[in-house]
Amino acid sequence: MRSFDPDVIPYNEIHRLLVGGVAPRPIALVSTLDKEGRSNLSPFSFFNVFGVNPAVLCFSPSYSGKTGNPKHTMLNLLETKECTVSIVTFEMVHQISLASAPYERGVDEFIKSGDYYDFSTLWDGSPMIAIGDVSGKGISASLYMAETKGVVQALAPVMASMAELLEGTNGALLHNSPSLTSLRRSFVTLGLVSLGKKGVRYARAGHTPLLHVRADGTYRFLQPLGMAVGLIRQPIFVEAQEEISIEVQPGDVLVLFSDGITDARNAEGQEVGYDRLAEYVRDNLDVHNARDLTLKMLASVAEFTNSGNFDDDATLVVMRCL
Amino acid sequence: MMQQQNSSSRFEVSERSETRADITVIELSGQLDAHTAPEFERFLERVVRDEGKRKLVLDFHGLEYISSAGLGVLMGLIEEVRAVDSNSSTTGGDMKLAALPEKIFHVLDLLGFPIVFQIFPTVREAEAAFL
Repeated sequence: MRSFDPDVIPYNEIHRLLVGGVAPRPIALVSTLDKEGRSNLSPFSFFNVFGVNPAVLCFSPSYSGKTGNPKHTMLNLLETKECTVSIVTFEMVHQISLASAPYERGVDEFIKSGDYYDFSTLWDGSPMIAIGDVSGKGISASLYMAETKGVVQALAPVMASMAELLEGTNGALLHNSPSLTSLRRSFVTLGLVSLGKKGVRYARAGHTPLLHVRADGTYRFLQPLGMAVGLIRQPIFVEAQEEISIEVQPGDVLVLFSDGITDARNAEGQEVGYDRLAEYVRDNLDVHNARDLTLKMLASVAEFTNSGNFDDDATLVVMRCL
Repeated sequence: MMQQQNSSSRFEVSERSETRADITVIELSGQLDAHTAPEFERFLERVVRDEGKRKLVLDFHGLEYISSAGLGVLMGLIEEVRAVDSNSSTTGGDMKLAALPEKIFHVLDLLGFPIVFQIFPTVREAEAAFL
């Protein structure tokens, strides 16, 4: 039998042993406000009900197992004495993982959990890349994004086209909502790119346009018709949907991005903007690896803003045609 | 003219009635965000439901920012404004948007609002579309 002496082994090793030794555990998603009214959203895996009379629900907002620093949730609870506790479901795992990242105190993880990207396979076997951004704030927006991700994943393999996939997603979200009024408090933008035998195709539901930079350095932003998901009833949504085909050549670059990238500002208040983003690709057309190109672009954004931080979620998906 | 101001975010909404064709122009200024959207919603509901006004031009000239909550208010009322009231002889109305600052138009354009709303460069042109 192995034995462990907590007085000898490091703190993070104790943490690893305990969380690995007692599993599975439910995950609590706890929201708090600090005295300035700034919100925080954090998951806790030390969480359960411990009694009925009196009713006791416990979670442990003490010190981060990763950094050893006091968690913002605890600091906020000491200041305001209030929190809400929700349960994390499987579909929410990616968003929750974003919320648990060690952001500065005062950073609103409600906003940070607003973007997503994902990979799916369409009915004809074509790979599809999805990017999404949820508007609004609050736990409902975060859950809404998780729900949208689940719907897109479930529908992608059975829909005949991406336009139909977006229509189906809009229909499902409207169907699941208690009322249109509550739904419209937040909505989701989606951009979908498929890479099939028919070539590259793009469909959009209110999302930022797709950037296409050709190997010769010319570029364009493609913005087919399409309303954000969850805003409008099905007949109008369907009527406004468009799916386009994109002709690409070897060396061309396609970029899906969220507005957190183009809205990033420097100290003078200037935004990165669309054209500057295209310039960052043009400046690095000799970089053949898409991952390296992504890092170069992010470095260019950081250099422009003179900061590695973004006010909003920032997502960049870069595709290079071989 | 009625005017309301929110204490936390700077936002003002006011209305003026045009004598011709029962048009009501609603002027927005400041920040239409999650804090001020409920006030805007109450204002619009009063105009539409209580006062029965159906020909609305929303003047965005002074608006600096609109959040999703503000956009939701527009979407939430447009169908009601356009609905034909079967109990009276009134025809369906409309809510037209005018004088959008470039940044705000860009956001609305991306989200697909021009599919649902008629958007005009000036209030005058929006009014003319009712005549």
